[in-house]
Amino acid sequence: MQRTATLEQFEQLVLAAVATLDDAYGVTIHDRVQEFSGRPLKFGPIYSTLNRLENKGYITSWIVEGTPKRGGRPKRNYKIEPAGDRALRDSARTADRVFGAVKTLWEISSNGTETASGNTHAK
Amino acid sequence: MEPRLRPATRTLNKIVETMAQFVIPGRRLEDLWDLAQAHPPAYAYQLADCTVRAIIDETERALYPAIAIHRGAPRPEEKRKRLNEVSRMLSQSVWLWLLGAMVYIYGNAEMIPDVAHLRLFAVAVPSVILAMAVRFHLQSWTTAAGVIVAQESISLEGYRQELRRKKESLFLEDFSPSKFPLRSGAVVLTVMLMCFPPGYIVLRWSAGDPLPSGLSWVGIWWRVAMALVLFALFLCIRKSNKLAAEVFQQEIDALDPARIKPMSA
Repeated sequence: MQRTATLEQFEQLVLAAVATLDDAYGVTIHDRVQEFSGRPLKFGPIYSTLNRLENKGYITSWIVEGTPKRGGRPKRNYKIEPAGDRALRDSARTADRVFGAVKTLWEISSNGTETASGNTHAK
Repeated sequence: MEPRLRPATRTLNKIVETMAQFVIPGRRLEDLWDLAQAHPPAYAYQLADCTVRAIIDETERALYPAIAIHRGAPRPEEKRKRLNEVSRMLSQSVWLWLLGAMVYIYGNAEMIPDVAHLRLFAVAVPSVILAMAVRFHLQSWTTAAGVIVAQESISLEGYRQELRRKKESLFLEDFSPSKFPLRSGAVVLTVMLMCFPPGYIVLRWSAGDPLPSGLSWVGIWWRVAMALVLFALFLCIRKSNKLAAEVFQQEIDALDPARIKPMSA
């Protein structure tokens, strides 16, 4: 397996947002990342992260002509590149392994709690 | 859509928006249009935040060109060109810094009264150190530059060698008095000698001597500020070289024959 540089958590969210959107630009990416993280976010960190991901070659951007919705102002669209896709897959696999391990731990501890409380009631 | 706002807030938003459009780097102007479309809460603050971040990002790219080598997912030839360009730029920045330091040191020597060969000391010692630095840099630079020739026809292994030489030619010395006493001592001595003339004048003044003729406090503070700028540039060049070395190493690793799968596999 080809090694890729690790992604920070926020980079994962932004990269996942770019990967899952058809029309990925600042506003839609911001909304999607908010949806993923489940908390309100400012725009500034999103743009800084997009810039960092672009520097790493994980995403590319291009300018699209403005729509009437934006008052005719142009927008910058983003798309994920193969290197970004690899990095995202690696991160997702790691997160999956961590979740699997922790889930087992939680199941054991919750079973233990249930058994302990069952014993207390029996007494 | 723009929400209903108090007139004062609307005016503030307009002022910040106009200022942001003037100062934000051109390639990040679309960030502002996104904000104008979404019109989030604390609009003026978010505009200012985005503008400051855009300026910081662009400054970082200018100071540390190696961080943007993969920008735009370039083709291998384009990436090779960028790596050469970064290596050349970093080498030039070291030359410029050495030149700046020499001009500064010789210019400052005029401040020192010519007693007990003090002026000679303030010029001769840094001259020896800087001459050594020039010699070392010239040696590493010519070694790295010599392999740029005929890069189009270079083999994969040849290209790896070229990258390795370029990485070795970077200015990466760690400041470690226990490992490199001579080099670390030279760095400390250079910094001390850069601050010596203005420091010496201030010490003499505090002991009751007048300032040398033709020298004012503005001149002294200006020289101290210049020393700080030179020191900050030195740190910047070092960091830039370190980041470039990381990128060069990534490329060297990526070209490792053991890691490249044959096309038929």
